[in-house]
Amino acid sequence: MIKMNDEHLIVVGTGIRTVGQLSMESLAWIKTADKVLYVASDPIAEEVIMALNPEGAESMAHFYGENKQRTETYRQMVEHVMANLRAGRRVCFAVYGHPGVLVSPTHEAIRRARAEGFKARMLPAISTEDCLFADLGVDPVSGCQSLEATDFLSNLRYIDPHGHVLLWQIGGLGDPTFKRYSFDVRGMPQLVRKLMRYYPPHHLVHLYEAAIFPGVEPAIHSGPLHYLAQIRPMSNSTLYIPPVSAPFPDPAAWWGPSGVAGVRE
Amino acid sequence: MTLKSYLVLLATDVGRLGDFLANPSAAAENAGVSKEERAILFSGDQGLIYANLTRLDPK
Repeated sequence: MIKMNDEHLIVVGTGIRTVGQLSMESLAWIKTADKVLYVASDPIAEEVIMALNPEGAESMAHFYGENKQRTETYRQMVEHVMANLRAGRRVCFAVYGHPGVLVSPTHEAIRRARAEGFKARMLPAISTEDCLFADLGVDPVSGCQSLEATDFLSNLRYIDPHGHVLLWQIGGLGDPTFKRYSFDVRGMPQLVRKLMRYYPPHHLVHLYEAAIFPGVEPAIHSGPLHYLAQIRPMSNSTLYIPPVSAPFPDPAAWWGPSGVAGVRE
Repeated sequence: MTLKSYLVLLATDVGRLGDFLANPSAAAENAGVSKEERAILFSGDQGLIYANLTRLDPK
């Protein structure tokens, strides 16, 4: 007989738009956990958690601080999760979006919990990427690179301009600290120059922000790449760059009578 | 019922969400959401809805 649902730590995401995107399984874990440690980005997610588990719900938003290094905030969150696990509580760690996408403390909490002998699991949820694919009609099957904007700017990263490209957290470009409302986006001209190694200046790009309430349309602002240097994106904006063209055929590939037969070595 | 309570209900009750998807304005009205808050909900303005739910000044 296998053991089911005996996790000490369960990590869930509330989706981007809580109404309709919070899974039944996540709702059930939130309801039944001894402690729900959460980071919510919208008032509905927070209210849902508090309504489902009024005794156990505890926000971890107080770990954020204006201009505080996010890495320090995340370390404190993980420590708090671990302290509750060690106290013998069944913990649900709930964050907005997908708990494994652009969220390091969730992964770290699972790693640390398992290292200390606790059973831990992460559940999938709806991320901004999922919303973007739906809202912009993007199918990643034709190739899709997903990079954090500051990481792309500061490291030796390479882009395939013949596939889709997503640059995350462009609104917090180059700023490792937390800001309540907007970040100081100083690196945008440098980012645009780096992107122009791959794209023509007039290549159409899109700044995307998913809707968080029912009946609200996503915010999509489109314009030429070079114009990006002059604007200040919202803190939760994602930059979507469509392909410049279809990929070039590989001259080493050869075709047989029934389809691709192989690649010449 | 406040708008916030109604949205919590929609997030946790698939039957009520189904009613809302079928006829949003009737479902919200039948749930007892005030005319003012229904106007906010159906404004399509994310900032306005957020401000109402958190009682912030819309910016």
